[in-house]
Amino acid sequence: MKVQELMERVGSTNTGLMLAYIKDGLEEMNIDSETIVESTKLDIVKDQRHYDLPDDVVQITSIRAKNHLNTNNDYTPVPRLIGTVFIGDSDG
Amino acid sequence: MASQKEYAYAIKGNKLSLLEKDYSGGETGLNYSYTPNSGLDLPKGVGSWKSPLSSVTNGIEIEYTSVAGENLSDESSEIPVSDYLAKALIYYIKARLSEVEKDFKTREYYMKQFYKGIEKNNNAKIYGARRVSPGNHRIK
Repeated sequence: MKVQELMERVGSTNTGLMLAYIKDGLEEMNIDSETIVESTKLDIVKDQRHYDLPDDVVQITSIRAKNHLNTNNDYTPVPRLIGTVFIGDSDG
Repeated sequence: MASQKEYAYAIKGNKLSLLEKDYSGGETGLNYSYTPNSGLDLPKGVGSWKSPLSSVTNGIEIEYTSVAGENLSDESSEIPVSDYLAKALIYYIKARLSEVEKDFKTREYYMKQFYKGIEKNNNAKIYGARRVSPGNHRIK
C-alpha cells in the first residue's frame, strides 16, 4: 500500500504529519510483533566488553555467537546474563 | 577444529556487553569469597566471566526488529509492510488523530483495532493446532 492510499483512507492531506505517524506506527508494530527482522554481525574484539547496538534496533530477538558451545563455527544463541559481574577487568 | 567458547551477554542502554567464560587459571572454581558490600563473589579462576578473551571476526550475530519506514519520503512511497498490516496502520493513525482532538474514547477504540490487526496477522501465519503441554507437576 502506498502512502497516498493510506492518506485517502484516513482522510488527511497533510503528507508530513502522515509520514511521521506512519513511522511511529511501524515502530509500534515492531515492538509488539516481529514485523521487520534484520540481522547484523559484529567483530568480537579481545578485551572489549561493550559494543554499540545498531541505531535502528527496536527489539532484540536473538544474539548468537560463533563457536558458542560448539566447535563447528556455528552461530548459537547466547544466554542473557542475570545479575552483576563482580569481577571487573580493564573494560568493565 | 575451532575451539569451543562460552559467552553471555547483557544490555546496558544502547550497548551490548559481551562476556566470555574464562576456564584458565587452574583453580577449582569453588574458591568463593565474601565481601560485606558485594555479598558472595563469583568464583575466581575457573568459570569467571570476563571481557572476550580473543578477537573473532564477525563473532556476534544480532537479530533484531528494526525501525522501518526510513525510505518513506512522499505520497508515492510504498509502506514496507503487508497490505493487511497497512490496514492496521490506518487504525493507528486514526487513533493518533483522535488523540489530537482529545477524543480519548475513540482513540482507545482505534488502538484496540490496531493491536487486533497485528495479532490477527501474526496468528494467520502459524499453521496447525497450538497446545500447551501440562507440566510434570500437573494435577492427576
